[in-house]
Amino acid sequence: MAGVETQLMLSVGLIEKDVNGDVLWVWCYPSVSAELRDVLLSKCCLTLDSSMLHTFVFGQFSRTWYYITTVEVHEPTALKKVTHFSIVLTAKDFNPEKYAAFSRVLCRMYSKHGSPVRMMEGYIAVLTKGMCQNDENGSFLVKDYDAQKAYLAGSIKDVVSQFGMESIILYTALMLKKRVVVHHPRIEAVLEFTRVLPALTWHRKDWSILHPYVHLNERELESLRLCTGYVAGFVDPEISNRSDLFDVYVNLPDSEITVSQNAKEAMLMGKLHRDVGLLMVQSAEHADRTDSQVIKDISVKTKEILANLTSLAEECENSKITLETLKQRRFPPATESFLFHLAAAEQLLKI
Amino acid sequence: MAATSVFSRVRTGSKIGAQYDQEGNLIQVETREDEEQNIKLSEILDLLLAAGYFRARIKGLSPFDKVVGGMTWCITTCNFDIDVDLLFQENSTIGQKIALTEKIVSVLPKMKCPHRLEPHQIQGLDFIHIFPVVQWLVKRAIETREEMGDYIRSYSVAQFQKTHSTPEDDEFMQRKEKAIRTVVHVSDVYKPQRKYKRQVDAGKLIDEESRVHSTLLEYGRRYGFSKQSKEDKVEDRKLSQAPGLPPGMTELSEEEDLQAAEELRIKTLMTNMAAMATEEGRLTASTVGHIVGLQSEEIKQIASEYAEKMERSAEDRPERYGPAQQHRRQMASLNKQIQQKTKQLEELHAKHLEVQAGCEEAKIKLLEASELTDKLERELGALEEVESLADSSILEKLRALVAMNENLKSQEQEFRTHCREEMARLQQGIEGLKMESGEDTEDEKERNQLIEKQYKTDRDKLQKIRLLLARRNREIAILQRKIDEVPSRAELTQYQKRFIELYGQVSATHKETKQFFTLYNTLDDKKVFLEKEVNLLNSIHDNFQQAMASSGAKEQFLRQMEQIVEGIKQNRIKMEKKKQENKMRRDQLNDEYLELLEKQRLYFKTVKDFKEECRKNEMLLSKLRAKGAS
Repeated sequence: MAGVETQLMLSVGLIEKDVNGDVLWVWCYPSVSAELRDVLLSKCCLTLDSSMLHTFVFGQFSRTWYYITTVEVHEPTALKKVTHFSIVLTAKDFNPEKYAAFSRVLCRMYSKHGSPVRMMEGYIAVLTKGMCQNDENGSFLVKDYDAQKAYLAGSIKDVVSQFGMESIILYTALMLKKRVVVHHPRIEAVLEFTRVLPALTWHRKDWSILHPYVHLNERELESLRLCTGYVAGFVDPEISNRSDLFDVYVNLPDSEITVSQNAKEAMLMGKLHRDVGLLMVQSAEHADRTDSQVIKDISVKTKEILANLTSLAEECENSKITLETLKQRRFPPATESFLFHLAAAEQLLKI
Repeated sequence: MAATSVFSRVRTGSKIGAQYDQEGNLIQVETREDEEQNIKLSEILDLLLAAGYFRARIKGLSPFDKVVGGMTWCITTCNFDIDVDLLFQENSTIGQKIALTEKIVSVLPKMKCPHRLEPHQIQGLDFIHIFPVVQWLVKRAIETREEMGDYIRSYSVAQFQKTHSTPEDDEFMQRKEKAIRTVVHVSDVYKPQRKYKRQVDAGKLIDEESRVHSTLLEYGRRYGFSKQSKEDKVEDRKLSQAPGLPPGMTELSEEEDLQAAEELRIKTLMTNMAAMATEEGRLTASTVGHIVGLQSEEIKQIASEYAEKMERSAEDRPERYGPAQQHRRQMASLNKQIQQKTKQLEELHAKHLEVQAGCEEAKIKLLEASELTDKLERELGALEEVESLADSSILEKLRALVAMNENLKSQEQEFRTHCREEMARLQQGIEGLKMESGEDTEDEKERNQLIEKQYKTDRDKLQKIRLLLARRNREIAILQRKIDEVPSRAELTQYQKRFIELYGQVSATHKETKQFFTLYNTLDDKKVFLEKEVNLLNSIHDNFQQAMASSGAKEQFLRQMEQIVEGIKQNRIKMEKKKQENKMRRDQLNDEYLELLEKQRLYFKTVKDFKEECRKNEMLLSKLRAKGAS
């Protein structure tokens, strides 16, 4: 029964651009708060001045995932006076492929019939039954798009091969729940890169830390600051000056990673990190290992470290580690600091 | 290549295993080892050159010569003995070379070289392995040279000094005596003088620190705080009973607490000391008693008085008590630092308290949340118990459907309210836009209206002109068509030709048709005659038998026959006449036709002549014109 899964979809909205160049939030079902509506209008590429069309963008705002597909209206169509329109889907889960396919179906329906009613039929069909017919005598099935597949869809090999040994900085930052900011002038590159970073901490399977498309305005930054650790993608180059917003800054076009001053002591790295980094690089360089195998290798190593840590914790009272227990083991200072912060992140630390 | 042999390395410089191709030329076997060896050889030579072994530059020497020479040179530079006969023979045998290299290799471990080398490697010119050794040797050589540089220089100076002397040296020799005496005298004056002596029956001091302390005290040095030992000055005063300087003049340190602790220690030590016999010996006992007794209190008193005095008179005597001032300044700065650190500590403390408070709050929240989850879990557990009584699969479906239903209902409600809100919002937007556009001033409105009027009039004019244009176009079209209808000369000649053709065709068909007609007529006539003939013959045949029956009939028959013949003959004559007539007409027409043909021929000829004349005319005219123009 598709009931449980489709409870994940929250709403669908429609933005149109007409022949006079005006952009309007036309319609949505069931409802979208004014705040979210403004955010979505700003993310939709129709409101931007440039004429570049981003076919599909997605992002997160206050725990709601939104997926925007933009389409240029071609003949034959029932839509008069409309040059472009975007369909916005909001949902609670992260699954870009599913929502991209679904919104393409909805776009075609709308384009052909010119009325949202027909599009709603498709939407309600997916909401209730989990499938809907599309134009070419096929059907869109929700169960074809598994959440696990969405997590694995990105290419971790590209990330590791772009940064080499420096990708260990990303790994450390994610393990310690730090704030990572990625910048690239093209939104598609940012989306592609950031969506795969949470896979480095596969044992958590937590994609809610991912905010792939953020603009530098107060509202969004407020909602970003509510999270302790995040991976945020920016298209605006101004972000490099906002060192209060990140602990690690990734400059994608120049392939540079910088750690900000205030996070340097927390991000000290030692032999343990070198091992993990070597493992990552070697695994990614191997030509016949797929992305999911690379992720698996990294997660196996992570599990080792965590097992080590939990065994340490079990020896202490209340299964919580304290700084003293760590000091007793006489690890080198970088490893000790890392394990301490990791225990804090994994809730193994005595408060 | 001896790839499968056991000794797979080809030794460079030796021609073992050289291959010759068909023409007897040496095949240049290029192995990677060879190139690397050459690179390494050049690096080794560069190193040796940099170290100072310039023989490596000589081109005539073999690499082995250079390398071995370089290594022995480095070893000797490091001050290690190596017994090598450096007079090389040009073509030494392998055995001799090995002997040389063995000597080198035996020295290397003595020099504690970290790289190992075999003699055959040097002899075989395995530069890849020789290189690290040479590198290390060169480094050692340079280090040794640095170390020994000074020594050697001073040795050479000494050698020089043995036989010669510079003018500076002579001067120095003169001043030496006087200088020595002065130095000795000065050192005597400032020698530490032993003031006390530890008594024999005081017992041995056990730990080193107290021994050191007591020795220092014997020489009058308080260890620790003051620059000058104030106490021994005080002691001196007490001992010598001399009128001591007023307390304010002594240089006292200001650290009273620490002094108190020191007092105690020194007391214990000093109890066992007696003043040196060179000093005032008879006061020994009383001195000791004094020391044990009230000295500490007096010292404290003096110290405090001095401190007050110093504060009061600090500005008057700035320079005389320089070291004290420095000390005071140091003290002041240390105090300030202490203050700063305490402030920081307070701030950190405050921050720590804040963070702790926040932590407590978060813990409380966590507790609440966990309580809530517990409650929910309990309720869920109860629910599950109830559910377990019912059929699970149907229950699941039902649950899902109910949930879906609720969801859709709530969505519908949401949607309705949202639609109302959206409508309100959009209407507001429209109002806003109307307001904006309606807010034009009067002038703008008038201008807008004027513009509208002008636009209308212009549009109407455009319409009218368009209609006019269309009509004119139509007229032009009609006229054009009419003009087209009148044929031009070329068209006319074409028409004429075509007409002639058609006429020819028509006449041919006509003639044919006429011929068919005449043929038909002829055949028809022929048929009639043949019928008549057949009738006649039939009748004759029929009547013949009858006729032969009687003579009268026979005669009748004969007459009839003759009549018939007559009739036929007459017919024939008529026909002949007709034929003659037709023939004559035909001839007449033929003649006429020929005449007309002649006429036509004449006509064509005339036309041709006319054309010719016209052409001539044209030519002459053009010539005339040309002549006229020029």
